[in-house]
Amino acid sequence: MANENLEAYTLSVVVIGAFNPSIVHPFWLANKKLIREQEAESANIEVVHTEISKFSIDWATFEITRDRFVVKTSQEPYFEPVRDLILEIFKLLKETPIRSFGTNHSKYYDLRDADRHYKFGNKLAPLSNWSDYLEDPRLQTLEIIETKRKDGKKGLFRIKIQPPDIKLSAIYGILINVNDHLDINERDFVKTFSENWKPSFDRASEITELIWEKANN
Amino acid sequence: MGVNTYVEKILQTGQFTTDGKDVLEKNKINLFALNEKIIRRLKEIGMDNTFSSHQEIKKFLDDGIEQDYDFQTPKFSIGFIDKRKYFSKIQKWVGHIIDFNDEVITAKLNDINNPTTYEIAEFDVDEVPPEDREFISNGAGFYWSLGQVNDNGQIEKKSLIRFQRTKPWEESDINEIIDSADELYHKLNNWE
Repeated sequence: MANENLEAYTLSVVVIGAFNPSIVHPFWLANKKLIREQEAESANIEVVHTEISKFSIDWATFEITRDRFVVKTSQEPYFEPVRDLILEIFKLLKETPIRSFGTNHSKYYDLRDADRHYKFGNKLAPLSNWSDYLEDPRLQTLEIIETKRKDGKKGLFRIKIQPPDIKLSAIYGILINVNDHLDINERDFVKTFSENWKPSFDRASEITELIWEKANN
Repeated sequence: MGVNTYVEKILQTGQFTTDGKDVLEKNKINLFALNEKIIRRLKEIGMDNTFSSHQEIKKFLDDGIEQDYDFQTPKFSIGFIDKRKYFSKIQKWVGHIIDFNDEVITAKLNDINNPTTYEIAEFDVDEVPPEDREFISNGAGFYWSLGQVNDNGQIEKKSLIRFQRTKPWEESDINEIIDSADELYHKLNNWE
């Protein structure tokens, strides 16, 4: 079971559209009661500019440019608050044209020992294919894109397997990234994002579970 | 014109003094350098896809200008997420208040990952962060999580309560729900 070996789970949401970066600011969020005032006061503001706004509060990081709106969190208890926050922001900025969004699930697993770590890569991309050209080849990164979504919606799933990009307590860790990308009609964001939330988590879980089964059996 | 060329030109023409007295010119260069970094950052993330990883923001090349002159241009952080703090072995519930008084909240809890059954639980009002207490009312929603947090290598158990900060439903939301219910009703009526 993949879940038993899940070490950490982080999330980011990327929205593509036309934004005004300087509007979204910690004190604007607090003023709208979307975050606590104390969170706004202790926010780390890197830049607020007409072209880019970048800041972080204790549980999320924001980066907004004219065409890209990104919120990330490394803290699983805040996944639902991140969803609520994004929904409420775009309910307030309801005239914002949005053409696509992606929910990025980053799951970090502990493979426990060197042997299992090697076998995981070898199973997904047989390394014997490379042994004629390379001495002791190892899998570093694997990226697969779905050309047509199973659920019939416009968009794609992209899966990337790579070494962890955060410092885990596990020595033999891997990261499975699942990008759930949906193209939408400009005014449908709030409804589509809300409806797609749970199915996105279900599909990410199904995909990672299947990868785990295939790579470990 | 790159920022280095700009600085060179100023130095050649003598319009800028390196002793730090010409504040106006320094601000001009600061702004120029900041804008250049922003343009570079925008080019770097100007991808028309929604894939995102934590390594997305690469280190900005240092122009060398900060070492040569006594001012700093802002830099974006290399990381985009707190990589030292993450949760594991999490159990999450969404709760709705069914009763409360000055000391205790009684709530119906649904497991977010397995919402088939529910439990009734009591929480001390003291457990609710002060800024969230204004949201305590019958029917109010909150998230409750239990898990381990790894903060810079230090592992500790944590319980988190956070109230939902969502706006009350508007007439359009209610109309949308009525429309969906009507649609479902018609589908069921046509079911053979």
